[in-house]
Amino acid sequence: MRKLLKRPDLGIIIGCLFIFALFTLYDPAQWFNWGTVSNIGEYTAILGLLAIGQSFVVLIREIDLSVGSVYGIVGIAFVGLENNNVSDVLAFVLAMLLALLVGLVNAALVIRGKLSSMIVTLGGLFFYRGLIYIITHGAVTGVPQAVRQNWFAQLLGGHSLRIQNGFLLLLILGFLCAVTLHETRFGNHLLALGGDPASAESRGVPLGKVRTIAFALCSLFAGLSAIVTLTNDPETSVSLGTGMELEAIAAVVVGGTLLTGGRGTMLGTILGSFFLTAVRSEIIALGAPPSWYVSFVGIALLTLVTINTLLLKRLRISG
Amino acid sequence: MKRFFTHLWLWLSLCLPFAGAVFAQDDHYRFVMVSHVGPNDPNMIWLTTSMKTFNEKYPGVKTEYLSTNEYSLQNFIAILNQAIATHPDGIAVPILNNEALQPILDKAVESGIPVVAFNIPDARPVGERIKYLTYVGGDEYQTGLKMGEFVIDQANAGKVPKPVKIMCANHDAAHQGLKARVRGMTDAMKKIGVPVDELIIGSDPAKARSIMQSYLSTHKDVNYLYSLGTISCPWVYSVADQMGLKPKLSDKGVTIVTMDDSPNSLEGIKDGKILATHNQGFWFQGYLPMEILYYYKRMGIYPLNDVLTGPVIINPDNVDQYIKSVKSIIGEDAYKKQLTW
Amino acid sequence: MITGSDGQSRPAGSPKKPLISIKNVGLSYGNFQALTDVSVDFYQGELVGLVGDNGAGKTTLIRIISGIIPPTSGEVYFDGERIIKFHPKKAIDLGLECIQQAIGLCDNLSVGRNYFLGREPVRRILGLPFLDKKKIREASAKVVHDFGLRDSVDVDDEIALLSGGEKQTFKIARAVTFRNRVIIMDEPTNHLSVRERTRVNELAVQLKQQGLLVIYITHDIFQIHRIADRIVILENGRKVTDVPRDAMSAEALEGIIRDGSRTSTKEPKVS
Repeated sequence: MRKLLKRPDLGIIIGCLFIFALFTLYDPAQWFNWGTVSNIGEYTAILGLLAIGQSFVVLIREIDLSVGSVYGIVGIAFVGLENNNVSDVLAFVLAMLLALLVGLVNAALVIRGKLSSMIVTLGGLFFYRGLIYIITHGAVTGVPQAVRQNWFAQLLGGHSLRIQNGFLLLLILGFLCAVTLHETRFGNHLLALGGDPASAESRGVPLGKVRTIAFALCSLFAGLSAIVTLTNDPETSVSLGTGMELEAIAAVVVGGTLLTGGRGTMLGTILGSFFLTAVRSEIIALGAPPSWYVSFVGIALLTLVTINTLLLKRLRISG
Repeated sequence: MKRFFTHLWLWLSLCLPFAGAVFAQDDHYRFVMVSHVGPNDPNMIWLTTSMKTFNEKYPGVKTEYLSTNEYSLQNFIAILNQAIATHPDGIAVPILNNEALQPILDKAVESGIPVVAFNIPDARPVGERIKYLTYVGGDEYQTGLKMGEFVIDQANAGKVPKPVKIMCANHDAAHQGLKARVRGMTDAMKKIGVPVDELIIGSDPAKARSIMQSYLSTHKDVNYLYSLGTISCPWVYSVADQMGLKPKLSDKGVTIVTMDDSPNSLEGIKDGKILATHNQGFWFQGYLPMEILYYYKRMGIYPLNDVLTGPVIINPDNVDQYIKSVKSIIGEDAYKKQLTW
Repeated sequence: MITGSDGQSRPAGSPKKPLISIKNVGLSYGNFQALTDVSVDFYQGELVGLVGDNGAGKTTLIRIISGIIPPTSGEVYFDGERIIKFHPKKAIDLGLECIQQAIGLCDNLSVGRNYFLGREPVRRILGLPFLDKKKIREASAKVVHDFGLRDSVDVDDEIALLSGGEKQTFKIARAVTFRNRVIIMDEPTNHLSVRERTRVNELAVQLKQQGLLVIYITHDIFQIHRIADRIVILENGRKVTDVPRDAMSAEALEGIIRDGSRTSTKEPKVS
């Protein structure tokens, strides 16, 4: 019990139980409708994958504002390669290499250039979006119909027992990342760096290496999320991923990860993605004025972050 | 009256090019179009192509097309100032923001540079508005209104279901033009007592789909989906299709209408996925401002009323003609590339 | 002052070969001379008090010894071998650990994880390395017990729950159990209660008795005079005194520090 109370993701666990109960009581027909479940599951998968990547970066006290544009450019590269008759697996590998490259560039600028990650990735946000415009001239084709039927596209974008493979992927990768974070040396180093960089360094933690891996993972997850999206629903546009960086950061923060680093869980991040998606979906479905739901989602976000902060304070006082 | 002037001008513009050759020899003007329609916008090619056509007819005139790459008022003002500093013989400019552009453009006009507004007008009445000669472009409110009226006509003719409730999918909440389209549609539907909802879907496709799905899952009476920009029309269709709402054109299920004469919109109509779209006359928006500036410089004449170049509603009956003209302007290859269905 | 032929004193009975030898080391940042021609030897099993006013060069000297910055002139030897490359990791590998007040522990990590930070034990499951949590828990629990920390301290608790003295003790305990040869304590008793201060000082002496070299940095001459074998005083980046503890009283040493400042080059500017 004491352990549970100390979890950084306690707030989001309560939040998710709360909305689950609320929607069950208030609107069970809609809430337990398969269409709703699969809609929420689909977007939770997309947002969750982005947010898991973002978690690694936020946990080391950095931020990656470029993920929305990286999501866009990797997705568009994937589609572009496939439309130029590159096989789907190779297109996937090349697109992910592009994501990796972006992550390494972000890391290099932050570490070697000694620049704030907020500035570096803000630059990335505009740069990669601009690159999309230049490369595509404003028009992007979707994933070709023939490719979508291939086993590989089905693996990422199809369904197993009516459940989105993207959602299963989120659960599997979320679990692996949680294990990495809490059960490996790398995870321990990452948390130490987030908690107190000077102390971590004094114990011989290779800060540069840990930072580089965190940024690389963040971009890779953004790219993966884009490819999962496109293999599932092929329609795309140059605006692919616009604003997603803020949603991903919101999911991470709602999930209980501190922007000051060092504390957070992958479970919290996944639940945070689910929370934002479910609340938005239900608010719209329940008939909130359609142009007002944006503000309602903002209120839900603020409420949860406040709960998180109060829980954290209570924890500090009680010792 | 407004309509009369518009028609008069269009008629004149078709006749005058033949007279153009007479003047062309001794007039060496330089006109600049400063635009927010950049290389990432498929519409740019309409403007530049029609300006090229203008140039062929008036070889003595030099035209320049300057544009921002992204929608940024600041960048736009910067290049507008640069353009004015070179003292051109005339400027064509969209009124992105009344307050920001008024001091700059009024000063240009006072210094003797005539200005024609295109694509986006200053909505205030003459006298209060920026002192440009005239406006050439579409009218966002009319666009929504005409689309609504078209839907009602088609429904009355029994070709499509009677509208019960309409959802407007807005991909850019900050875009005043899209809001005006919604107002037009709402006013059209008021006449038959049909409610109109505006749903902010954002511009990311996955998020937009998720939001529309949530909305449509409970608003089951909605049977018309109005995609306010061509960007969102494939998303609207795929959501409706996946939810089993039968968006394919018939007298049942939901019906989709969209905007612009992009390949997506046109092929959507051709495939029976979309009822109608519109054309706001981009070709005219590049060509006419140049010609108005020319005759203003040359003879001191200009149309007193705004020249509305749209909307023209495109539907299954006239779509082939538009497909042909679009292909001829942007090229067969680009047409195919822009298709994302 | 009792000094050797090279101007340095040695504790009686210590082996001839110094563990760390600093020879004519100087360090300047641009025009600012932080250290000037400092030579000092440190021997195994010795507790050396490194004393001086703020800005005397104590911390700079320690930063050189722990590999954080290279000197601009002079030589540093460790166990007879000249150090060419200065790097913190290298110092850690040589068995040198610097205990500082503000750093060394990550507040967000558990006691056990802090204990093993940077050298986490792993066990392989299906060939993949995972943290050996059992070992972490047991080894750190033993240390917590051996060094007399509160029984209520759970090694799974975040280390932020420990008091300042407990944290200091824990850092020292960690330094000792990882078989270090040199422990540098940088102002280890700042902000500690009287009882905690005594405890830390006792530990410093114990470490020395176990054969480690302990370099104890402080500006409290009376405190260090009680426990050190030898006192080295720095003043304005120069070594001014290097004597066995018994050779001078704390009061006399304090006088040197005081007079040192009085005769320093800063003096004319003040008057």
